[in-house]
Amino acid sequence: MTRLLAVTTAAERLLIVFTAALVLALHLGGMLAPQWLVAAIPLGVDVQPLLPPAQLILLIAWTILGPGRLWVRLVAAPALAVVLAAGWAVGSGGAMELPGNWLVTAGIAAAALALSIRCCGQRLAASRPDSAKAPRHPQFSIRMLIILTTLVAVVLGILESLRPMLRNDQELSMYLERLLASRLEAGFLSGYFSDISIRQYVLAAAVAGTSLAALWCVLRPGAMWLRLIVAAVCLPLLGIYLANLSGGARDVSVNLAIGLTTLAAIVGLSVVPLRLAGVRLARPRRTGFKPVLSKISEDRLKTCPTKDRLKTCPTELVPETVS
Amino acid sequence: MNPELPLLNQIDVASPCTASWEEMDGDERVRFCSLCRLNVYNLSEMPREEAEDLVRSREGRLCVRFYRRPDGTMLTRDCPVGIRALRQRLVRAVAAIAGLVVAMVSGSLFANMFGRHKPAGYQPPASAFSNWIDPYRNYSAVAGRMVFTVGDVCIPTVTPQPPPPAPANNGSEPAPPAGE
Repeated sequence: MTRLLAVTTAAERLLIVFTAALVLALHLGGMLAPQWLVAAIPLGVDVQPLLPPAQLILLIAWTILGPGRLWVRLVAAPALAVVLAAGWAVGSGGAMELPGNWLVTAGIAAAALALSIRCCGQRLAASRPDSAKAPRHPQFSIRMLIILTTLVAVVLGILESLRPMLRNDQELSMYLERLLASRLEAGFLSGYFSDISIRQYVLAAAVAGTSLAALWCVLRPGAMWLRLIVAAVCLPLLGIYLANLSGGARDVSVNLAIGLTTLAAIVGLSVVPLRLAGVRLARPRRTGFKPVLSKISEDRLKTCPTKDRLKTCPTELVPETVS
Repeated sequence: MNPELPLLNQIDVASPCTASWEEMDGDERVRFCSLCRLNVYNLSEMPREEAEDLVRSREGRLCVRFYRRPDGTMLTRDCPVGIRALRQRLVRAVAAIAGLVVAMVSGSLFANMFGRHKPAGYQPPASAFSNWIDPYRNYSAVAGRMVFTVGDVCIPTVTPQPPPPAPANNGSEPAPPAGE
């Protein structure tokens, strides 16, 4: 980070510090501010309850996708989670609007999605602004299009198969029993999955997906405006679709659309300082910094006139791609 | 030395030094190295002419620091490509700051307007999530709508109550028979 800040201009540094302070104020203020202050801020009451899932997903994303050594983050993440939970318990008086078991489900879904992103080779890594350039025009490969459409089709297929269950607000065990009834006795599943509604799983997956999509939009290399436009269209549509699946009224679809978009906006805004500091979600390039060292043969030194013998301090570090 | 080539491009490192530039006192152009007790000049922070004059005036007997491009040329402060890139980055940063300020102002205006005129049926996002997960968790969430219940009626069975205990009798009147 120090290296990155060293190559930025004063205006860029000011922008990074300003946005980082804004994000910190948003999260710490939402966590610790008294309720009367939150109520006094426009939309404060609407945004504050969404901060715990946003923070949890950001923490999980950092743990799985972050730079540096994984074991350090794996050790630090539970401690940070405890600090966050304690902060919310103290700040909000222990009154969390979202159910705790749903938060855990959302965290597991986010971890699964982040792991799949990591398996695709994508990591959060600091890159110099010059090397973070991507092609100006968005490029899509045929393989990516096929994978994307297949994923969308699979997700839609699963959700459509869940439609009757979502409409009746049934438990997961009933769905599994119906799915497996003719092939094996699935009664043993009932005990494990009882009391967990399918809606809880679906919404947890949707929240994890939208949050990581926001992170993806902001932190991928290249201009983010096109990705933001696509996200601004797709996320409300997802909320409307979920409400349609559950047979909800019009106001339910509007509320879900606003909720998912707001959560994505919180996550996206939270990682803007990282983008400004040059952190990108991309395949890491193996780069190193090595001093400039020129080897001069003794013969050349001997033939070199005295005035050309420079005593130099090669302390500058030059990035060099390690092959 | 080839007189036809630029002087700065012919500079080489004869005796590499590991002293840290960050630990030296001074500014971006020249710093004092306490190990060698020499001034170290940052050629990449000087215009090309000034850097060349410096090298010529010291007859090569000086300690310098520079950034060398992969093609072997030395970066100087008046490098047109570098200046253009710096200017672009500056414009981009100023535009980003302006955009952030505009977004904050318009966002707060929108929040104020939205706070005053919330649409009918609007719920805060967290409540919307909670109520979608479990619509009947909070009855107030569905109180605005008519909820019909359909199903077999289950009538609770009525168990016969034992008779109340007889009041204390002093023997003047017979107690009324049970069941009256």
